[in-house]
Amino acid sequence: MSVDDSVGDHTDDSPAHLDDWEIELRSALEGTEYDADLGVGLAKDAQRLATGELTEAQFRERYDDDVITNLENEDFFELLGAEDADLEIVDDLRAAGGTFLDGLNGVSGNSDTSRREVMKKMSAGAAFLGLGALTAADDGRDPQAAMAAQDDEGGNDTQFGMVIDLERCDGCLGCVEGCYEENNLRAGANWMYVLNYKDEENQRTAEDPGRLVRPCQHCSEAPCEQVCPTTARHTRPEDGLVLTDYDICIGCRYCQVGCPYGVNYFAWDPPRVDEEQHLEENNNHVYDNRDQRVDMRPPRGVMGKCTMCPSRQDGNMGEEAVGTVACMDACDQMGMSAIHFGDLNDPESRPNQYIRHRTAHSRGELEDLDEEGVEVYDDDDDGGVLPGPAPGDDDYDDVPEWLSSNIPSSETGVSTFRLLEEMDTKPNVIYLGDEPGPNAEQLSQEEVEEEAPGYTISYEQLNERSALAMTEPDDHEIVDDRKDVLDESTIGGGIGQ
Amino acid sequence: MSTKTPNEDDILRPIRHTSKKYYVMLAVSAVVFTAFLGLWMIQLAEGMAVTGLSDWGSGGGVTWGLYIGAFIWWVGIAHGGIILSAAVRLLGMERYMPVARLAEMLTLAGLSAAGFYIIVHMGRPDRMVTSVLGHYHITVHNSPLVWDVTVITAYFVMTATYLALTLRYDVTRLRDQLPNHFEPLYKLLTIGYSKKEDEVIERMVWWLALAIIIMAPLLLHGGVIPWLFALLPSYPGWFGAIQGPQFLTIALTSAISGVIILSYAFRKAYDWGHIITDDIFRGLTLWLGFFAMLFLWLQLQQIVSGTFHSTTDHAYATEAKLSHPIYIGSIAIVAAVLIYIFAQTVRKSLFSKRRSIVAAVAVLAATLAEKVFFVVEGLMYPTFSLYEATPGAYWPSVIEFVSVLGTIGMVVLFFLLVAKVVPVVELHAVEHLRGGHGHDHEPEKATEEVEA
Repeated sequence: MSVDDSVGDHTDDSPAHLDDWEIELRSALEGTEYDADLGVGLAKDAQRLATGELTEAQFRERYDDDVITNLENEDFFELLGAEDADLEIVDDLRAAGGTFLDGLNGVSGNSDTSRREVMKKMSAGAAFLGLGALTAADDGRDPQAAMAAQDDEGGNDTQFGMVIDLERCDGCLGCVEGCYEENNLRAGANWMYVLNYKDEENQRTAEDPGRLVRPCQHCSEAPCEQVCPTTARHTRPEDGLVLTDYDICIGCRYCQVGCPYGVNYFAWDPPRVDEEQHLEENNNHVYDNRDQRVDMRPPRGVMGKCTMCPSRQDGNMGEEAVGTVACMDACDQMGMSAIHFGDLNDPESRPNQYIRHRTAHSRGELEDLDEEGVEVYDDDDDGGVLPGPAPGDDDYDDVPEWLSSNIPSSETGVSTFRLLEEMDTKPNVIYLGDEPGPNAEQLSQEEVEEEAPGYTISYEQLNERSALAMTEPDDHEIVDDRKDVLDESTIGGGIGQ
Repeated sequence: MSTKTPNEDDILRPIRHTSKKYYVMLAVSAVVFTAFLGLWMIQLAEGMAVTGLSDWGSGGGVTWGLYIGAFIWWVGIAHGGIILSAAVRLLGMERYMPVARLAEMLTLAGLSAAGFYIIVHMGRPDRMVTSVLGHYHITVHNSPLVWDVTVITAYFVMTATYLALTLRYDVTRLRDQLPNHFEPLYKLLTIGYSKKEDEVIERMVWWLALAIIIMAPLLLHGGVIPWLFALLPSYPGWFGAIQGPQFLTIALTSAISGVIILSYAFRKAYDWGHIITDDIFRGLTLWLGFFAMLFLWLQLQQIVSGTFHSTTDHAYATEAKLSHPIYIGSIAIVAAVLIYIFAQTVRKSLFSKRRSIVAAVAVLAATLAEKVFFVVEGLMYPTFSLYEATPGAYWPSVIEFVSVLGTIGMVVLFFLLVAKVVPVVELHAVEHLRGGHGHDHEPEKATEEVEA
């Protein structure tokens, strides 16, 4: 549907008082570089979006491309009637990583909302989009980066999360190992887990499997938190991490039932390291800055899951660990850098930088690799996403390792997704790569070894690689057969059917 | 039907006479219950790894299993009191009056067993009070599990109040024939009693019955218990508006079965053929058939909507259900019971109390199996089904199996002990039966209602 059509379709439905405004806007737009029809259509549809007549998806379908090409400077929102106050909203929105649509979504569908209010939000949103296109340089149309943050209560609050590049992952299981060792997990309670699958819809077969790296999604609308009968499962207000207070949890396991992703691991059995010794040795790692016991593995009888390392974020593990998580460190050390943890609300955080860079790269907007296989940054002002040094420049070393190597090439562009978005959990892990479809089927380790040797390492190989597992196999062996481990303690029965 | 006239001595018989069989039953139920308590201690000491449960997802199992299935089952059985109370107090079906108190006691016993399961199921039961009550004002807005605890507690308190109020009448009148060693308890029960209150109590009881009857089907087994599951969109085997009615039908079939078994046991033990008459069994059996029909009808709704043109995850979960012997077996048992009950209404000679008992036991076994399967199946076939190749399946451990016997033992123990303290048949029922020839038409009328 063209923009003109959309205007025509709805003219009759529009309240009469908007007609004057339309005339004003049209006359203001005419004689400028802007397409007046587009501008008016956009403004009207934006209003419909704000009042709920139009869904966000419908709006995006209509405007993504056209709007970007037409709205590249600030004049446009001035034409829409924005004043100084609007600029503040624009700034707020930008700081929150929000978008034009976020601005509109803030407008109530209530018919009492004044036209002025709708206009104000709308023009702020439009302006943001225009400005965003400028400031993000050539990434221009980059909804993922800007949308990376869930607009959590519209504030500037930190929202930790991850960008995980599935195309960059090589199945080394370094993240699984890193998390396991960092948190002293029970055998098989792999808070970080890697799944391989086949999926006909994505042309993923046993010979060429798909992959999913699965930490906790630290949802902004966490169902596990909602169903918790005790408030033990909670969202840390300062950074949006979804944590479990191990001293409050009663072990009813409703959080595990409520979670659609299967990321929770109950402490069924005694831990592999004595509880008192654990607390003594890890005092600074177990409690967060609120003095709540939320980190590392839980004591027996309560629920655990990926925490995104709150005691690291609080500085308990040293300044250098702030802003890092164990799985990301491990992934970086393996030279893969598929996991990017950080504040999704901060445009300059590692995940947002990475996703911008990667999106631009997939569109061929970064120059090709140089002879040595190192990424060359286009340092024209209007060029690369991250205007930066090229090999040979003095400050070339400043380019972070995780950004400067091993970027997969992609001829078709890269897609992003969040897991089970339709569940409205607002997950804070953004994936780059193919989303497993509803018919995707997990491949067992044996199947992968047989059909796609080398696609991933096995847990046996992982243990051979792990120094700790080699020296203390009883305590440190990493396995993925949690059920078998638990069946050893089961009294009678409990065997697989 | 016996031609004997019921009197006070009849209903006092359980208190005055104790047979050898009584002691055997007491010993057996105490042993079974204690055995489970012992196993539970092991579970507390060793951790919940002693069960067959695991984590769903990469844990390869299910996090809720037999404990939760049996919890639902007991809450369902506890509905027996409500149905009989409704029939007697509100709908005027006085022929069920002789079993009404037994049914109300079954409510208390069933709820106790369910409550016990909640505690047994928890990783840290010691924190129940501090963690749940301490944050109640926050969690009550969101957590179906908190709603659940709230409604069960309210239901228990209301039923206990109701029972205590109706006992005052009996205990006062029969006081001289009741054993002296329970004197303090009787004094407490009848504190401040005066004959003037009888009328007031009757009205209070009516209103209480009304409140409980509104609450139980709408909020308990047609409400918070199914909502624990039905509100979670990521489990196609659970999600959806039908679970409320579906759970209620399961509750009602189990509850009627429980009352049938209980009534039969007391009738046989205390020679109460003239009090708990054949006619009561015919009526209860017919109700069992009616609720079994509703149960099967709602199962059919789920199967059709899950197979016709459903979403991928829903179709998958339904297919899994239909290919599992436990599900098929449960449904077949309920269907067989339904066929028998309808057959015996057409040909009266097919009825016998023994067959009613067989039907009741079969239905209870089927509903327990179906409920456990429901819980497990939901977790085995979630929308996010990517863990499918993860090895592991659920089979309950010995401790979980014994928990069912243990809670049955607990409920039997409850009745064996309570029957020694207060009359389990209302004095009103005896009075009614003595002078109640005017109500002879009631059974036929009720039967017609059911058939309609």
